[in-house]
Amino acid sequence: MLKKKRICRFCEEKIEHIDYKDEKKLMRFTTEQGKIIPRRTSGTCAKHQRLLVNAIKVARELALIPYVSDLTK
Amino acid sequence: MRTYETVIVIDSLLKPEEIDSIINKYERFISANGGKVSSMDRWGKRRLAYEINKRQYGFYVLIRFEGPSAMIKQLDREYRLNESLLRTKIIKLDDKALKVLVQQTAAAAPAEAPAAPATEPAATADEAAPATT
Repeated sequence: MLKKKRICRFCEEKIEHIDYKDEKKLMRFTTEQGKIIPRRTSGTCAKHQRLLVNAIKVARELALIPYVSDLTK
Repeated sequence: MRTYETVIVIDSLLKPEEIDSIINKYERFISANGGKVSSMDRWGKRRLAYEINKRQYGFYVLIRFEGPSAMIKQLDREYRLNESLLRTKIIKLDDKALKVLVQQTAAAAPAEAPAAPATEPAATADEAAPATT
């Protein structure tokens, strides 16, 4: 899904704020299990990865996105 | 005065009237304590990403408001005393978040109508949706 290319998607689109309420966008930066995709894979820059991680964690608290998705369901 | 936004997840097994009364309660609480509710968005019943207190669904409400910082602690306490709330969150909107918000409202307003009436039909439409389901 995500190419191994070192371009930060957020820098490209000049995004300064990552919204925790946009769960579809956040889900793109998590694996099927719900883990956060590391910077070395997604290519996100340090600044945006930090904002992204905070947004994902807030969204998890509100049950918008899962902490872990059960694959054995 | 700062701008905040709060998301509350209400037990969706409650009656619609009870959900309404909970929402109204906090709206009034904010107004009564020196705050001003700027917008309210009822997302309605949504599936939770994981089970909370044996519940699969929750009724989500987003309230944006301005208020004194001292009120936040009280509001958080009020939230914690209410057992029909599954999850709550109060977030202070920083400059960047506010900028995005202004852009979003500016983009949404001309699509429908001038700024003031645009928020009104949206709110009533949201209220109508959960009643039918």
